[in-house]
Amino acid sequence: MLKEAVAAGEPAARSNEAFPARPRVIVQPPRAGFHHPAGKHEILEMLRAIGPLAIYGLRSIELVRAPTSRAATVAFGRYRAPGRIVLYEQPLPPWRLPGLIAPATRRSLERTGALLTMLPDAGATIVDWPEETLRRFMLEEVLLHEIGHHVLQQHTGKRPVRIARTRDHEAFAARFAEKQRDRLAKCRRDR
Amino acid sequence: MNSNVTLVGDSIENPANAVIMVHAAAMFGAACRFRDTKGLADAEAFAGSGLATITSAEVQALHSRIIACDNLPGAKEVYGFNPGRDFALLVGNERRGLSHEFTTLATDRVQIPMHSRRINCLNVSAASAVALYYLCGSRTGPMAIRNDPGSRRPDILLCEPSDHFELGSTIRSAAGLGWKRAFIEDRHQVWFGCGRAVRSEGRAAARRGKNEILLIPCPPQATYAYPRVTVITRQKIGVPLDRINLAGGPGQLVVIPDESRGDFALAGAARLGRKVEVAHLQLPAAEYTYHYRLMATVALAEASRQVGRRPAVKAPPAMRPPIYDDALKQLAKVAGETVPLEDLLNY
Repeated sequence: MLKEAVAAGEPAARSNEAFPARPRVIVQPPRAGFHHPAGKHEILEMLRAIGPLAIYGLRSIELVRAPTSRAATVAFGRYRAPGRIVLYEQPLPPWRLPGLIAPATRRSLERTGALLTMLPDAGATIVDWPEETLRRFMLEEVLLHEIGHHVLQQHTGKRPVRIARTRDHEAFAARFAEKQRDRLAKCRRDR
Repeated sequence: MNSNVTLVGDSIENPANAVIMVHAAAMFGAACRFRDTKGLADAEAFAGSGLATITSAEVQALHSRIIACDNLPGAKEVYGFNPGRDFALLVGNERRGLSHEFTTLATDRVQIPMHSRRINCLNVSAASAVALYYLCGSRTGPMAIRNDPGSRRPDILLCEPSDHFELGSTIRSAAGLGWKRAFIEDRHQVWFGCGRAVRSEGRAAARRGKNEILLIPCPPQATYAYPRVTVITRQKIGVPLDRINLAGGPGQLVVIPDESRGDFALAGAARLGRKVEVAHLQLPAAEYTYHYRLMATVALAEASRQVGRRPAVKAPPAMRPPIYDDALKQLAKVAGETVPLEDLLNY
């Protein structure tokens, strides 16, 4: 019935057709010294900006505590098929990281406004996130990347199974995030 | 009579079943009462003696432990179940099983494990006898667990049955307890070569429409060469039933004679095989009314317990869904510098 109505160009039955069946956003309080840079409201705004492509099949976005098993590194997010995106809490800036950050990661961080100070003698890196830059990073880099994983997984149809090599999956997610960033930037400029 | 045990029939329809349930209870020294919702008290069978009835409130007042015997969810195997000395055993209607009222009344649930895909229950009186045998008669262990129970299942010979209803119920029990074939020495022609009415009634009792057991007629007094023959009799000879090995595989023939017309002549058992053993059912009551289906079903249940079942198959773990992590890439390694301990202390 609904399919027929849409095909005939009639107005949709639901009033919020532009933003149908939004995923659940579950927020777990962060630990002391950590925070969730992007809140529920910002995440929903980002989903709204991307459109129904991102939302279709997406079940939940969870803001959770960082896994303790990866204390040595900083975990940003995770996509778990079918339709579950996890965004981890982040330490309060500035970050003092052991070792030097790889060039590709460095470019990714600097693109969203992070200030990186490399300390080759000490073998450490200081990452500072002025103002809203960490939020921007979590939304435009991490969330879009995870949505890219979801889009590939969802639209291939075989949702709970591995449908591409990890390398290809990651490449698609990176391309998707890049395209969406460009589109959002263009929208901002037009406004 | 063991006044601490009561067999309770819930909405039993068939008066013949009710009468045999009374006899089954008497075999184990238990009382037998009925919750009569089907007009059982008006049946001819109870015209003289009267039907002992009971309500759910009376069951609760009489016994603290109430055991439902039905293939209900979460029911434990009757084998090896320890009910204590004071309990009520509830058995249900022939077609519908226990009523919701009695099911909710129960403190424990037991079942007789069935091995057939098509025969999923026993005759109610036969089931009552099996349950009473394991709950208040013998103290046996749980059902054996074997990788290949089929290789331990003996052949059975139903010897000289004299009543088609009794034989039909026994055949139903044999199929339900996992036998694919049974030999019948039909001297009294109650199964093969009988009249139409007897044939129909016998087949109905055996649930022949869905009972796939293969029945092989054996001529009376024929000789066989089984390495091991086990005769299960009502006579107090031989070893108790639970102490004899009934899981000898196809090389063993378990003979269950109908002794309603007289004791089985054990001397004649030598024609069946080389080594003949005798086992008997240990029953608390000295005097009881003999029913072939009761004795045979208890014997078959014990054999089935010893033959055992396959171990429960573990469900394979579900395939892990794909997970993609996003984390800070591996930090570039920096060549380390060796620092003497003195320098570090002076730092």
